[in-house]
Amino acid sequence: MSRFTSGEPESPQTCARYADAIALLDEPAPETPERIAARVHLAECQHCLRERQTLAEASAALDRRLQALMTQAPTFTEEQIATRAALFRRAGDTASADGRREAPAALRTRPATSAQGKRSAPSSAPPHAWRRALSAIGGAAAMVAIIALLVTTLTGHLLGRLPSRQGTSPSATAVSLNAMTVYAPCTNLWGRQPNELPGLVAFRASDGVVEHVYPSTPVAEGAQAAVFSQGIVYRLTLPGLTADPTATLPATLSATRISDHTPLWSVRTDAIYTSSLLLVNGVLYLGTWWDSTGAFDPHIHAIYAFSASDGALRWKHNLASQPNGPPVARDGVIYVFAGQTALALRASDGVTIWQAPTPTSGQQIISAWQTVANGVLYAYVSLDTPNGQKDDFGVEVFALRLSDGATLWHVRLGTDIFPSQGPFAPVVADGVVYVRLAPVKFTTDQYPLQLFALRATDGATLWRYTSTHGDTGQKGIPNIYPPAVANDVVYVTEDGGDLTALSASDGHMLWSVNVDKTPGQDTYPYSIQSPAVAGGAVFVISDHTLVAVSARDGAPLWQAGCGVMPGQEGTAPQIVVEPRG
Amino acid sequence: MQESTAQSLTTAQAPISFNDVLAETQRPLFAFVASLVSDHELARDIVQDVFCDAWRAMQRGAPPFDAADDLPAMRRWLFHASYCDAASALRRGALIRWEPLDADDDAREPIRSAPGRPFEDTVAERLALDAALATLRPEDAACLLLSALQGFTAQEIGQIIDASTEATKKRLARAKRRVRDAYIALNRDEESRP
Repeated sequence: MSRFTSGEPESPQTCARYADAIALLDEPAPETPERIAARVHLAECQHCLRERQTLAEASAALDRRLQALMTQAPTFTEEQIATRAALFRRAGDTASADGRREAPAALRTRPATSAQGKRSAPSSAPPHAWRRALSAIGGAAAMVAIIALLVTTLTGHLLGRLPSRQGTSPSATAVSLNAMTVYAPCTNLWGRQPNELPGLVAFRASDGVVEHVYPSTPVAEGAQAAVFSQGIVYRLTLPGLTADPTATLPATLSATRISDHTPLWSVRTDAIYTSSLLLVNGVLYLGTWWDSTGAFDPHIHAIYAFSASDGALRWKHNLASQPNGPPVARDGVIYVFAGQTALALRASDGVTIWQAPTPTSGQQIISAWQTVANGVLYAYVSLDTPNGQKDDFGVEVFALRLSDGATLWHVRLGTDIFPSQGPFAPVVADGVVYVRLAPVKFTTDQYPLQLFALRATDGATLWRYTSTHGDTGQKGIPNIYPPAVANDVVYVTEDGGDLTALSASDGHMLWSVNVDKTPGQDTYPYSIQSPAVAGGAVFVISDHTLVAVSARDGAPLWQAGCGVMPGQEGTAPQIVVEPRG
Repeated sequence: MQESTAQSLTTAQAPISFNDVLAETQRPLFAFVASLVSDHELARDIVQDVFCDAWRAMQRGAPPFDAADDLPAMRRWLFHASYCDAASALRRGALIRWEPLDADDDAREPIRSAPGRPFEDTVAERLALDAALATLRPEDAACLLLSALQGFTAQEIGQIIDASTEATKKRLARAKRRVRDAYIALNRDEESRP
């Protein structure tokens, strides 16, 4: 017989059955005679009824309290959590970054600092005084860490050295795909004409679903360069690319709000040819050469600085020779190569800080693509033929000290090299400078594309990767886009749609996959561009398709339709991976 | 039309995003921890740290975040981690206590009365419940809070606090009794008020 079927209810003052009955009914379980009896008892017993009512009221009060507390809850975003997780390791996490919070039995995770820890191994626990001392030391260390973080953050903001927005940034690789958006300039996405300005398409990094399309504006002229920033596209349009080939109008710089295509401002430069745009701290910089009359005018060789907010000319610095490539910036200084000279200009007013000759042995620099890293200006330089022989170009890499332009080292990687016309700045990572080059006769198996890994301190060749694809430049231009480097792996693309991962330590191939979706129908001029790496994935545009593969083994993750922007000089379609926000 | 075209080109399924996890759990998680440690600032820190750990676990595909659709398991993991951190913080609190940067933080918690409910009753109820929870052992309080906040069963609570189901039931009953007593005492005080 059940305990609850023994007859009369207890007295109103007390009931010994209450606790058992409540415990029996508290848990979801199949109905049993005992549960039914308990239910009946609770319904009949005055004491139990009152107890239940009191308990219900107390529960309601607790619920009100908890609801009020919930209104005080922080509202963390994924970006905040991801950033904090990337910046901080908790005390004790050094050895347990991957092992922390692994399984209690049922949950398959058990934290390193289990609440039950106080029960374990009391004999091995340090004496109380020791624990107190260790806690104090830990507290002091935490204070030092906090102060260091504040100083670092503040300094970084003051100097404008915010984390890199490029996909090759090591910090970017630490961010979850779920919190990332891939921005890719796309044309032909919906059957548009290839000479349109690029539309900017935002893809969810985790699965390639389109988050937003910033449609392009139909224009008559082509775009030489476009920079996207905070919902505004800054475009440099060239008259040489208009429908009217006789047009001699100078290049125009304009800003357009992406969301509604509203033109914000437009200014004309004096030049026909310009370098790519550089946007830093609200200022647009570009180099110009060749004036609008078509005649040589040395005064047209200049670096311009325009305000990004209204297009107003901040300053113009005249150069003795034409700039050989786009300027780069670091810590309030603009660096540019002009003629045979390297210059450092103050970003605020264009005043020359230093100028230094480059070690070119009198050869003319055709183009120079630069990267600043660790106090050194690294330049990938194409040199004109020294003896007038056709196709006898050279490629050198310079390392100049940032403070005064002194040459630290320079190496010649070879002659008979195809002159670089594209955005082929060196990639510097972990003390290694990576550059690619293509011999002029790259279409034969004897002259394959190469990737050099040079020691950043002295330019010594650490290793060299030779492409397995000899017949690469099907359209006459080799693909020598810079690689992406992340987590000791170098990702390099090759015409024909190959994406290859190399060990950064010795250059041996880790994996290689072909992401070409339309073999044999390469898109002019390049079938595949520089990859971007973030969140354990590699993103690359290949033949109108944005492809994401696993950075670990190249396994396909997703793909989405995406055209490419026409590869005008100096304007590679750059994939940018950013935290969503 | 345009988006559907692009979406049709994608090949992967959309898993539960970290934002989904945040939206689902951060409010009850904060209420849980704040009730345990009686310190809002500390609770915010703990919740943030737990989410950072969860984010890292999701990054490396560790369980339960390797299963893209098992939100209940993720929720249990988060409460388990929070409970462990809160318990550790309470133990550490016996040795070192960090004063909140904003000393009035808790005092400024706005008190919103329910419609038709006197303001002073809300204040008294809050104080009584906070005092009752503070007198409970952390594991007992955790049992009650997990049951009240998320409706976890005794078995699930046992998994979260790393205790047997039977022990959990006893703790839950003990905690309920304590809160009930506090509530009764509160009402008695109110009734005896002139």
